[in-house]
Amino acid sequence: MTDQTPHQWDLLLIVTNDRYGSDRFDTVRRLIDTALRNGRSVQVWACGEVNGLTEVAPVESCCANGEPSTAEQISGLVAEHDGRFNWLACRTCSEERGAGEHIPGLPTPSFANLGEYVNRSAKTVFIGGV
Amino acid sequence: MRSTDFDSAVQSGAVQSGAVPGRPRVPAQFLVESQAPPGPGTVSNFLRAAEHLAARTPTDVFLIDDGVGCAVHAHDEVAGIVRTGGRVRADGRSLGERGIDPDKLPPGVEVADLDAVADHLFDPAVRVVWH
Repeated sequence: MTDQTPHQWDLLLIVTNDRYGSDRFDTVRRLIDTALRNGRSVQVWACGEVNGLTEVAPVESCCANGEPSTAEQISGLVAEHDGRFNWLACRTCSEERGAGEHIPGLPTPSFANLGEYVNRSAKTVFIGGV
Repeated sequence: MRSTDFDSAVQSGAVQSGAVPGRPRVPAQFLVESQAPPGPGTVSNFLRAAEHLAARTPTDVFLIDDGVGCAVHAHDEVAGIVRTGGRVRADGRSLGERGIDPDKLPPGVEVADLDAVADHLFDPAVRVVWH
């Protein structure tokens, strides 16, 4: 069956595995920046351990060097690029891991909604698998 | 073509693929290697698969993060991709972060950044496999 749903987003980037979480968020950030710089829109679906990136920390977790934390970077990007960037914190993965609350304003779809987000995107790319 | 014939054709360079002269090269697949090369005495099955694909259809490979190490430590597989018509690029920032000298890359491997491959990432017609 041909998908007739108009694509609202250019790319759905599914990021899983902590390999692209705390250790290498820089690469995910570069992909986001590349999309925005080239006039594209992108949603990131955080899968598995990656959901820890946007948890509300009990204590301010700003980097020692004064750089904004990953959660602050994501929050800032969402605010700055409304409609062209979004971060989706998977509720299913978060609950399985007993994660705390996510930073305010992030959609928290369940895994059952993933297909809807795939259909809204012209392309889906999965990174972080082993 | 039997697999042994195919392997021979790939190894000899008799099977070629790539751009149509005068047209921008749009690969059928864009393969991203982000993981460290296998240990000594083993091979990267991902890059070997890329070599076989490159012999059949236009295939681009991008090495990023620890994957740039493949350009040095999986030299034969990377060179094989280029030999069979594939295009291999290595992320300049990842090379720099790991102290890999671009002059040490196999012939035909280009240094690029994410902007240079953005069209492949976003083109719905290009299949992306990120390893």
